[in-house]
Amino acid sequence: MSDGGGEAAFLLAGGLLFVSVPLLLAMPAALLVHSRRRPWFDRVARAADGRRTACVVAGAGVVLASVVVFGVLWNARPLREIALAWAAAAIATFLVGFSAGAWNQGRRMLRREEGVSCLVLGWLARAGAAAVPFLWPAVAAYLVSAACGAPFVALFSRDGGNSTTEPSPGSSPAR
Amino acid sequence: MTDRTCDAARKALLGGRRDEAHLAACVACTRFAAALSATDSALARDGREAASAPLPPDLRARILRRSGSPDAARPRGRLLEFALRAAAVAAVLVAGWTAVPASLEAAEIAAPEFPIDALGALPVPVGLPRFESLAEAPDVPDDAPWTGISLAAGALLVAGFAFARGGLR
Repeated sequence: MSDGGGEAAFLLAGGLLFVSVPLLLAMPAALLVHSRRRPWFDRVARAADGRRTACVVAGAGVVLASVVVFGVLWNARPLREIALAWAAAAIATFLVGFSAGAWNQGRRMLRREEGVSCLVLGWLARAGAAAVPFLWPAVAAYLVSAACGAPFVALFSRDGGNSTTEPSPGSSPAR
Repeated sequence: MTDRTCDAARKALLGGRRDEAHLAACVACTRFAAALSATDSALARDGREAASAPLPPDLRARILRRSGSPDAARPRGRLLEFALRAAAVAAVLVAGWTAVPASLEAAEIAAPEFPIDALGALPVPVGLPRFESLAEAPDVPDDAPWTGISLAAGALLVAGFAFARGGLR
């Protein structure tokens, strides 16, 4: 067996883990944040819904910065554990943003304002969209960027992510 | 003065008409008419003040948020927003592609000369990879354009910060 085949298998398995584990973790993380830190979760959800472009742009910056830091530290072999720690922090940011986006998605789909069912249905829809290989890579990149940017925008926006053109839940189809 | 006559005169007052003959003869109905007139003028004054007073900003934002049609909002900005989102996603894709280890291109799997039976012999890892195996993991290519990716990351972060602070959605 050539080294290329072994590395390909390693990277394929690693890639699958990298995609599937955060997506699976997103559900308990969403339930945890939703129940324990509701004001912060609402703020991130408003940012993810009302400031979509800002979230995607900022999230793309976060992803690119993570790629740079991860790549540089990964090549400096003694620092690979730090690279993993950086990846864990990036994934945590992603989890919060993904949970808030799933919450918004579920509210639009169910046309309801509250309820854990919104979270579950939104997670199913978003994780399903991100997990369909045919939709890769653009949809997954969009979802990851938007999710990574939502906490950033919620942190720095003046109005907590509110926008005058934000649609109310149920007023528009799921986007 | 009978109660029925007073009732008819007060109903007329409430309807905007005045029975002057009855009001001149009935003190109670005259007082009722004066009280009604004072109430009407107070309501009109409050209405004028409410019409000229600005809404509290948070209430105004909530009303606009709930009543605004997303399809009709900011039609000229939608193309710009789409372009910005597409550029950001494209930057992520390009950066991811350039940072992928070269061996991931794994031409062996897709190449026609790759024996399909050999797929079963691929060393697919079972269970979580051990921490020590990180040392054997492939390197990120050294020739990846880190400077360009760093500049793009900085530009996107600054733009995202500006959009978050500004008005762009």
